[in-house]
Amino acid sequence: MNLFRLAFLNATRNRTRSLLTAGIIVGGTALFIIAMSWLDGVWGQILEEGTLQGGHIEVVTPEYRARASLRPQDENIDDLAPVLDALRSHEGVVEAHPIIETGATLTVGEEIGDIFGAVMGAEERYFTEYMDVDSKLVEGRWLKEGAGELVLGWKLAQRTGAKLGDEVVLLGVTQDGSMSPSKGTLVGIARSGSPLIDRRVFVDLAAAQWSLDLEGGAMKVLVWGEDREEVDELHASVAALPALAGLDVGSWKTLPPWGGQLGMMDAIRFVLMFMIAFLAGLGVWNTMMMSVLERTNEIGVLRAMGMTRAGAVFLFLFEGVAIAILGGIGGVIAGVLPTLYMSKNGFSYPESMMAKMEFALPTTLYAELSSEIVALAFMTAIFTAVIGTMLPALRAATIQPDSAMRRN
Amino acid sequence: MALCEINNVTKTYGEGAAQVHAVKDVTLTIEAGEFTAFVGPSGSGKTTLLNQVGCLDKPTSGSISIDGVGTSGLGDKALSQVRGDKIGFIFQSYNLIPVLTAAENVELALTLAKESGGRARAVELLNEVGLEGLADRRPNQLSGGQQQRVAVARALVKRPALVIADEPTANLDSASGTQILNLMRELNAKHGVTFLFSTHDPMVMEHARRIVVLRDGEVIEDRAGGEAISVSNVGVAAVKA
Ligand SMILES: Nc1ncnc2c1ncn2[C@@H]1O[C@H](COP(=O)(O)OP(=O)(O)OP(=O)(O)O)[C@@H](O)[C@H]1O
Ligand SMILES: [Mg+2]
Repeated sequence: MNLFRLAFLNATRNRTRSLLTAGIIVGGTALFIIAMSWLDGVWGQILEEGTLQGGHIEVVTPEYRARASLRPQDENIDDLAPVLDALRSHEGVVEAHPIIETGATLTVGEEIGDIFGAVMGAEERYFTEYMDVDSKLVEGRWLKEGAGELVLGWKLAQRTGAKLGDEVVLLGVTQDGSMSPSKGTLVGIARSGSPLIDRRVFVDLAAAQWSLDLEGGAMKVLVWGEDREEVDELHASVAALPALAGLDVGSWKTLPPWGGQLGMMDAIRFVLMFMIAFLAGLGVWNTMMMSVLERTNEIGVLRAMGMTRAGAVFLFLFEGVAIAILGGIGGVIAGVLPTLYMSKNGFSYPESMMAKMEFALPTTLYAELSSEIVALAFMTAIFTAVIGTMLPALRAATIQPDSAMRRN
Repeated sequence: MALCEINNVTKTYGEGAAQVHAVKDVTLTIEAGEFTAFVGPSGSGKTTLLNQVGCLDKPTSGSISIDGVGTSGLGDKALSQVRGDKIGFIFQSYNLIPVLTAAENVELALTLAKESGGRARAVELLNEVGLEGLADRRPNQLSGGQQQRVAVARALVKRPALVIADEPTANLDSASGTQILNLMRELNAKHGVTFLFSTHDPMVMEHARRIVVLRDGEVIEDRAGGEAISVSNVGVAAVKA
């Protein structure tokens, strides 16, 4: 006979009430696991996709950085070669790619067009490996570098009525503002559902440099390391490269669009944690308070038999924790099973929904279950159960031993 | 040396106009091996006095020593230990723990007194109080008389110096009540355990060897019990008053 057994038996005493409390904890824990796994999964996918296209580190001129949201055309890295050389030979850098983004109106055939498109110039590997545009070709093939070819986003192709083989004239501006007409042969049409591809004109880097009158330069250089989460160290060492002196080196963790969101994700996590904590705590508090009030006489008897105040606290604490453990285990099962399913099978949504999004996101989203989330959910349930039981347990300790003698 | 010294014990509840003197300046000596009943009308202070002697409550003034230990200056933890080690309790409404079996209820007393022996000793004691084969029943599977026997076993299993019983037979029919009383007498004779109990019941008084009569919190008579009751009508008159 030990007090653990008594506490455990006490937990089974009012079965409906204990089960209801355990049920609240099951619900809270499961909800927490499901919500957090989705949050981590979707957020992870957004970051994965975002940092794949946007790089782990972005190198621009300080003037460009200052007006980055306006995409200034005249604040460029003029001499790209030493920068690229230094980056590509730097330890920890997986790849580095120069990027040019500018705007142009598109003309196909005789009439001067009034269709606007965002022109993007980069090396082929950036388009194929990082943006993955070639896999989204719905017509034709990817462009050959130096061949005066271009690929159009599906929406632009539709608006201009351009067909494969047509000459497309792009009317842009140079970095100092003069008119800059250029042309290319349409060899492919890409479609993803996102404006990032559907409203773009893809050209090789040389063509973009020519159109901006920026030979040998680029607007920015994107850099990738091994792991986006460990970017801080790479960022520090890249920023210290002499070839990059005078340039602005920023990491995805601090730059828009992700920089500002990381704190918000932590806040969402905290709110979720607080919610389950509140649910579990309140449920356990309520149950244990009723138990203590019901068992006043019995606590008196135990105290008469020699139980100390601390013993009475322990007895109720253990009872509350037993219910919470039961609920926590149930909650882990109820949370992990659907999450595992959703992390394998994912959730698909129609491509049309993506048209409204500012960033490219896969059309199938997956939850991401981690042992940290499960442990956090379980610990939160138990911890708050302890807090929730503490008050009733302390109240039990104030029950005087002579309560045993009172008739009830 | 006396087992229990009660010196000028007063217990007052409440304050001002609502003040109740439940026990007034009671001085008594209880010797080891006594079988003593506190009698008196309702509200005369029997339970209150037993509470003080049983260290369930602290007197407003006066002192009590049990088995040579003065309890006046003791804190809650030390008092709990005195109760656990030296005092067994039997209550009017049995007060067994409903989720535990008879044997577990008895064993619990050993656990709380930090004594060993466990189930074997619990079953042995249950057999001694006449509950062979009922060790694994829960309280709700036992009659009132049987439950009170479990309570007797629970009070005695740790071999306390003193057993305090507040109206142990009040919830039982007279046959079961007599059996419990005979059992207590038997254990008193056999093990020399001191019993201190309260009662309203003249039949119970017959079994007592010493009767302390209380009235309005004061001891108004202290005399030998048993046969003496039939010749002395004073006690009964006091009870009925
Ligand atoms: N906790 C308390 N608070 C206030 N007054 C109390 C308390 N306990 C007892 N009393 C009062 O003290 C007096 C003695 O009560 P006590 O219970 O000791 O009497 P008793 O002799 O045991 O009565 P009964 O035979 O009815 O059990 C009564 O007037 C009672 O109302
Ligand atoms: Mg009483």
